[in-house]
Amino acid sequence: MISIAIFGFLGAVARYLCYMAVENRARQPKLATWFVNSLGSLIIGACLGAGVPAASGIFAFLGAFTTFSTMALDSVKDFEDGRWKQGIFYISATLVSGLVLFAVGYSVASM
Amino acid sequence: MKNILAVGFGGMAGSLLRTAVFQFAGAGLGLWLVNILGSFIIGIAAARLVNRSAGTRLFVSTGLIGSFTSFSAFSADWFRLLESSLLTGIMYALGMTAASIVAAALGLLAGRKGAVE
Repeated sequence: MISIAIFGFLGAVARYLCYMAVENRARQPKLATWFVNSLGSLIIGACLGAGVPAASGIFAFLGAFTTFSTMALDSVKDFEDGRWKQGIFYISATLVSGLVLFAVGYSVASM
Repeated sequence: MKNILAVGFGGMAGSLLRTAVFQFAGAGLGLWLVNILGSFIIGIAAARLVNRSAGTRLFVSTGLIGSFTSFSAFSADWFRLLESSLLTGIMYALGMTAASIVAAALGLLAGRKGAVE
C-alpha cells in the first residue's frame, strides 16, 4: 500500500518531467506521451521476462509512468480538428511500438 | 516544485485507486475499467478545468487520471493474447483503444454541455 503510493508518486513525476523536457524542445506533448508509453512497455517487458515479482515497486512506478487516457484524449483532439491522418498515425505508432518494445524487453530479459 | 508535487500526489491517488479497482475486478477486467473510465473523466476534465490553475489541472489530469490509466499493463496483456491467438490479440488492442477514444470524446462533450448550463 505504502509502496504503491510512493512508486505511483514517482512514476507520475517522472512522466511529467518527460513532458517538460519534450515540450520545452519541440512543443509536442504527444511525442512525450508516445515516449513514456514506449519506454514503459520496454521496461515492463524486461521485468516480466526477468521474472521480477509482481509485488515489486517497479510495476507501480510503470503503471503511473505510462498513461492511456492522455493518448485517447490527444487523438480525440486531432480527430476533432480534422487531422484524421495524424490521429490515426499517432495511435497506431503508440500501439505498435509499445508491443514491439515489450517483446524486445521480454525476449532479451528472459534469455 | 509546486507543480511537481501536484502531479506526484495526483499520481499517488490515481495509483491507489487503480490498485483498488484491480483488486475488486481482477487485473484483466480492471484494466478495461480504469482505461475507459479514466478516458471519460479526462475528457470531462479537459472541458471543465480550462480556466482553473495549472496546479489543479496537473493534479487532476496529469497526476490522478494519467496514473489511474495505464499503458504498460496494456502492452503486456496484448502481447500475451497475441501469443495465444493473433485475432484475439488484435481485437483486444483495437477494442480497448477504440472504447477509450469514444469514452474521451463523450467525456469532452459531456463536460462542454455541463459548462454551458
